[in-house]
Amino acid sequence: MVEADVPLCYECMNEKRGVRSILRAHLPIIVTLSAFLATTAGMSERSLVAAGQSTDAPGALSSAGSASAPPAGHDEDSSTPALLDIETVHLSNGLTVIVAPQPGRPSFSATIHYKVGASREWQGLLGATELVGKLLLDGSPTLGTRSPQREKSLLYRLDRLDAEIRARSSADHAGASPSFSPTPDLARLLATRDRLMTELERISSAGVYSQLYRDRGASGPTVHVSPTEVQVRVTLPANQLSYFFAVEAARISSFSTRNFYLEREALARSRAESFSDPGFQLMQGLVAEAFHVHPFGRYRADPDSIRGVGRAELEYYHRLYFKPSQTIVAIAGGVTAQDVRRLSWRYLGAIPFRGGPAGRLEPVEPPQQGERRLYVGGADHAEVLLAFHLDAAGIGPGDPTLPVLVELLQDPWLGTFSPLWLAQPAERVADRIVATEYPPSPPLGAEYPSLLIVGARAAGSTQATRLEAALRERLAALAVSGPGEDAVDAARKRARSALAESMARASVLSSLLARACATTGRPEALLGLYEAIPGVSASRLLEVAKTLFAPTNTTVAVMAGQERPGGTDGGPAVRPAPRPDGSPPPARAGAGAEAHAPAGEGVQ
Amino acid sequence: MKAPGWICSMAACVLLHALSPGIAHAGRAPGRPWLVPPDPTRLTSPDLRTIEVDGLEIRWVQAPAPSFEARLLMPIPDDMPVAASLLQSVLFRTEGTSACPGAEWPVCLAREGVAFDAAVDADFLTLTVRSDAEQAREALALLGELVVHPRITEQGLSRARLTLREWVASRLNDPLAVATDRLFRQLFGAHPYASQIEYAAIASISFEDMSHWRRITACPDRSLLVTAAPVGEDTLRAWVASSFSGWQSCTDDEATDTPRGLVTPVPDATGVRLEAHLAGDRTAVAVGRALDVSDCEQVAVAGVVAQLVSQRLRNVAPADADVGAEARVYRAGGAWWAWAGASSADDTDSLWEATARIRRGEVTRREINEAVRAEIAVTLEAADSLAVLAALEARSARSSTCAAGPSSYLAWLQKVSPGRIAVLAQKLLDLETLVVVSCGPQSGMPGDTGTAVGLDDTPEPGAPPPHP
Repeated sequence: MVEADVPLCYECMNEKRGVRSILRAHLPIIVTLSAFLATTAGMSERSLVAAGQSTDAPGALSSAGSASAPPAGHDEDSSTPALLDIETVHLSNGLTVIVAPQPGRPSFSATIHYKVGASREWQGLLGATELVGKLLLDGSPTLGTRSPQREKSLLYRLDRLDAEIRARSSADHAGASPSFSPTPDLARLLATRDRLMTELERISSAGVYSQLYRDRGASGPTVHVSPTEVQVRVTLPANQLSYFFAVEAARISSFSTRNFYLEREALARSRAESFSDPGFQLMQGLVAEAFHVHPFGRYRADPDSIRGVGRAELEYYHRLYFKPSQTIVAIAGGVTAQDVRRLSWRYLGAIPFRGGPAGRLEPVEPPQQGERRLYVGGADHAEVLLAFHLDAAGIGPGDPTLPVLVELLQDPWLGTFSPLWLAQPAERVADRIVATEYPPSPPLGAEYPSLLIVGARAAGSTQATRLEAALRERLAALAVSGPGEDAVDAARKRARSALAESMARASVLSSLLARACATTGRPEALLGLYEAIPGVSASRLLEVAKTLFAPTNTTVAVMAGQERPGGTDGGPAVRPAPRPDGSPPPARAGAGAEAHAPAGEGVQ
Repeated sequence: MKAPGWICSMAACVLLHALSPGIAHAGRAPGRPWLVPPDPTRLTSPDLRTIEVDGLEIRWVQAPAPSFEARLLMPIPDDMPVAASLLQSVLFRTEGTSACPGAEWPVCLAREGVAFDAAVDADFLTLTVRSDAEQAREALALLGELVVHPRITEQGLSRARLTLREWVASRLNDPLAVATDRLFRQLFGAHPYASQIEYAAIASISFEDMSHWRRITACPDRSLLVTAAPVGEDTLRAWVASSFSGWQSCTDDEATDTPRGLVTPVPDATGVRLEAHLAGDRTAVAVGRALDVSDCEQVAVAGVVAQLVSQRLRNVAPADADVGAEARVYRAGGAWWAWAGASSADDTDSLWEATARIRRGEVTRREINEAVRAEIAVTLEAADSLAVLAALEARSARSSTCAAGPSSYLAWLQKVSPGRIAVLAQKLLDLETLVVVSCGPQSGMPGDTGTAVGLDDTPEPGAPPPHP
């Protein structure tokens, strides 16, 4: 980690370099920071513009002057909903800024949302989104290193070595397996790589942006990665708004892969541990079974795939998907809309346009024709997951039926499953029951086809078969006779309360607004959802339940516990059930790029 | 043309310095900036208003979000911490409401979409309801009915007793719980903060005692309602008046609503060493001392020292060891303490050696900055929710100690300096004067030169046996 009090350019201390090269290397940062200094020191608009124009700064910051005044024809709209003031600013480079002022708070929370997730990856780049997420806070090629030139040279050498190592050994044996004995040649390469990485570590730092934020009393930043989005979240004192914009302008403008090799290996190792976890296998197996064509069905990248990602390819991936037009900045808390608007244009508006937003994901998941099943062994307890395609029941983003349905299913006291765990201990069937969405993007629903997953962990020695039967019985009742009006009324109220409580927290609100904007194009959709929940009727829920919980729309993943129908003693074993026509089960573990179209399905 | 390194270095420093108005060199340490927390006067504060309805003081803030939250804080009499804990537990077992007869309280809440929580600490029993704005009136009415007409039954009380006994039993086998309980008993002497919940006390509290507790403390003139609501003052007044209608004023003069007095350190509490042997494979050490809470700036310094110790304990813990360690300041009660739990006494010894180095002044400016940052982050985290922020501010206004809301605490934090940290660390981390409690299967404690007096960890008569 970089020291809090170290200068921004380390190389200045140790190496003598040409003024021109130094200026060229640091100009983007210097100009951004100059703009910030102008703000804090009360510099006039005119002088700021002059500073921006006279520097002839490359790239992002050359337009700092024009950014102080929105260009003609810019698309800026604002609305004032009854319950929450939300203003949206669309910058000319495609970046969207949303602000929801909440006066009276001494802090504000910001979410920087990138409309890209693991579902955008392709073969050879599986795991890239998580890798980028780990590197997003590491600084720029010139920020966070003592010597950019030296760093660059070391990284090139590491790239060559990495290619050679990958060519000489399978990725499986790239230094990760403890029992692996490399050949002398390979051992020499590995030793050289370790030496170079140590040298690189010595001249550079990780988490520079984290440190810059924490210098101002921030909580965070943290990075969250899902199959459909990447979010950076941070909370700062309310009087640090200018600082936030200055840092974000620098951070969004550039990307450093100096810690690429360290992070890649760390992620691969961590993934290897996850793959030996039966719970992880159960969830991943379920999703893979549910999505045969759509990229959601890919397993999360396995260690081999992660080690197969190259640094240059990752930089390309970042350029492609982490550009302004793919980015939404949402701010909630003790700030004013006027300040956010002004600073957005000044700092973020100066980032150059890098191309329009990525298109929609093309693959369309064909309708499921029959029930699908999967077994996972190797666990000491039984667990069952049931997944249902939401689009089969006509539930899309922003549909208020989903949050009500989730409340209806899982409330501990009134939900459909409550008898399963409110029973006396000896008769209790389930210990933990959850109803959730995949990809996890509540409460507005995913942009793409998604699943409702109902899961339960067996209580005591309950067997998986009994647990599954109990779950199915409750769902069947819901689909046949429908929920009672009282239960629906209670579920509506709870769903609305839960959403209201989320919106009362600045950190959650900023994240929800960004997600609402990403999935529906309108942050106000969040309020629309809140207002639409009371309109969900019992008849609508019955109609949805009939289609949603139909056997032909069901995917089942069973962790058999002691029964272990498909497991071995050596660890979790995943066994997709054979298909009726004898076609092979879907690929797993990183083979997702070759999407499978189901050859034929039927109820098992 | 080559630029001399020192020119560039100086430019970078100037740039950083200008970038950070909060960073001042000011002779505190040459060449190393010292982090100054954000200026609280430049931060906004909630517009917390105070009104009174039928003797009940209400602190409220108008919230723009479509949510509602209300917290009712009821002070706990000095001699009744166990009754408060029982009440907290029994509230979940009450029998419904007038609109929801025959059902348990949580079911009634779930029907109305209201979230409920009851929490008890050393000073207050706090009841919280949360809902969306449209259900605000119902949520407040439910809270009012629970407080004014609680349907507590003997059966509910029995179940609450069982719950509380299970909790006490679980702590009897936890070396960390035993060590911290004994530490607080030693630090606070006769003050209510030292009181512990014991089996005998749980069994001895009758249904009548609970009623008595309600009569003398659960009344409008001694309680405080804090709420964040998207309504105007008139509406709120009307809601509170109807929800808490019929709530009787306190009739007993035994209890007063004056704040508790400041904690006076127990005179012979310094340098005490206690040791307890407990079966199992974990060992825990808790150290602490009373803190003068009349000097709030000093408390902020102690908060930073606590962060420093926490960092150091975490950093030196062996990566493969199952070690937990932390230090904290009990701002309301006036105490500073730290604990470390590990699977071996050797691990805890090495942890304490690391803290001893802090006392000797072996602390880098970077560590101090990290500690200050952590205190700021913790302080500002409360601001995420306006309701929590309002409750903190309101509570601190009722307290004579340094349990303040974020803005006051940040103001004290601004006065913290490396010099003050060094002075206080030297005093706080002196093992010779700290109260040290060690608990676990192995004997011995850090810097052990005192006499082990032993602890009475015999269960109360009739108590369930500790878990093996």
